[in-house]
Amino acid sequence: MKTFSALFKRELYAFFLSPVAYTVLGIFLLLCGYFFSRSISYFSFLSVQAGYDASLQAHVNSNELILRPLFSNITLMLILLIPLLTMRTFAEEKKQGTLELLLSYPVSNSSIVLAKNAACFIVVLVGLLGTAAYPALLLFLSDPDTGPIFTAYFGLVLLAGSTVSMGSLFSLFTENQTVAAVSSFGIILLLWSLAWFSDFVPGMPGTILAEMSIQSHFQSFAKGLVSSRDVIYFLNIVVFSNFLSVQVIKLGIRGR
Amino acid sequence: MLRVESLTKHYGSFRGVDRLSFSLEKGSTLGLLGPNGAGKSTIIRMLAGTLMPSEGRVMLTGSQAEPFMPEYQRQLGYLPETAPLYAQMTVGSYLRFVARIKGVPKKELEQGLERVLAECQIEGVAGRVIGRLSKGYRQRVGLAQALINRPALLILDEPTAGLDPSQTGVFRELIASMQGQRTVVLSTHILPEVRSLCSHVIIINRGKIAAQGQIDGLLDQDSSGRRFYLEIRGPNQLVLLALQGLQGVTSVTLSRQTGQGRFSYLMTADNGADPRDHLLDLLAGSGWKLLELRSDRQDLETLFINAVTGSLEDENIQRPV
Repeated sequence: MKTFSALFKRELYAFFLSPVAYTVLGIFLLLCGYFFSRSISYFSFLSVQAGYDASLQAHVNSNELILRPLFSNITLMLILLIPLLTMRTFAEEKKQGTLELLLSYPVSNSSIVLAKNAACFIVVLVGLLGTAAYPALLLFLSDPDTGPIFTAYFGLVLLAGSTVSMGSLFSLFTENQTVAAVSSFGIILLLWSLAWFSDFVPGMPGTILAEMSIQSHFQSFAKGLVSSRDVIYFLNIVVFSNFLSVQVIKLGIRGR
Repeated sequence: MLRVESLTKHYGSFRGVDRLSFSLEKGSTLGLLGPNGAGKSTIIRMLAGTLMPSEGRVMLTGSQAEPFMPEYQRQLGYLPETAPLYAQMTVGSYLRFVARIKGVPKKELEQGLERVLAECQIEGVAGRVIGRLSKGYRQRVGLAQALINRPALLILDEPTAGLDPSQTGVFRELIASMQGQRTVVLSTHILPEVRSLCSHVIIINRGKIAAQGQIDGLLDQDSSGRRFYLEIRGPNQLVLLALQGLQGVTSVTLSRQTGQGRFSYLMTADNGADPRDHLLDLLAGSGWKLLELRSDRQDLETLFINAVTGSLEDENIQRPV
């Protein structure tokens, strides 16, 4: 536990010593703010229109028009930006040779993987915490349903954990950070978009594609539903990716 | 202290390291010599536990601990080639991190930090960012991280590669100061470094041991036998005949005549034989005067070249360390 704590602190320290975390978090929050303001503008426009057209009043719902687009946008930005945070976790250590030294210390492979992923996860959580200002503002100005806000954040936390684990795994395969970022982004995007393809594939294969898709499992959280099936899906990705990472260190790096 | 048994590393069908065996006593310094690509770094990485051997084992003789075991790793100090360090951290914060990860107790941490800063002469840069240090200082920080847990076994991979002569001198003094306290394995291809720092040497060629033993013992041995240089005042022909008759002597040649009845000889004896006792007995009874007697050793460079070119493959000259 002591070694985990020392590793975790160093990783966190490394994130905030480099401009990467500040840049990624800054861009993330800026884009979230932009999309939030666009949703607010659209909501205001529809509210004004609803004053003249009673049939529109049923559609003027802050959860539907502001929060769901906001969470959808946050999800896409996480998919885009998390690989930029995870790309350095192992690729940088491999390139600088520091992983060689780290492996000679009395620290287990699983502690190394978990400490690195936990630090990266905390950085993402800081970003997600920053986005909480937007729903908080909405709560102050209107009366949205709070349930979907909490479930959506729960889903985002699970999504962040799973994508961080996947990104970190891909960082283990290369010394090149760009390659690590692009390959993890590609895989995460593919897993996200499987739901789109599933619509065109009939029968069991289509169901399997939908079940494998991140998007399918995240949607219910955004709607205010927490299903154990979805939670287990994300936890499976975390456990499987971390297990693979440990095996890659054990057999791929130490055994090479 | 350290025992290595049949250590082998395969890369496909190629054997990078082939059945390497040796043992090392506590406090001794072993130099791992070999040309580039001989397998030194592979051996070092297997000893440090960052690379799994395909066959064989490495263990600490007391605890039976093997690499990959925390018990082994806690007794290990390792400095890979080019000292890979976290460039963004300051020297102090980096060494504190390493101390914590190596399990140095919290109450001993600051004391340990002061000790290694003094030992490696880096007190003046403790607050500086590692990435802004010169190569020599970075190498010393690398040594400090290896020493912070007071390791019983210190493994150094080409520790002076790329350093300027003054930095090399400082670094060698640091390593020399540890002799007797720690068991050191030092990989290098710089022969004077091995000569000045190591008590034992293993010469590696193409992943195999070409020669191993105590340096002095190896230098005394030669494929053509042990050689002695003598200067004697006496009748040349009689002296030659008498020397040739000594037990273990294989040949005697007149080297030069230095005047006033003084003659120099080059005497060769079988490996393992030491004709010097018999020589002194001979001289005592003859009345001839011994003016000079010295062992005419090959140098480490010759030994190295002979070993890697295969002329020392004779197992007779291989001794366990």
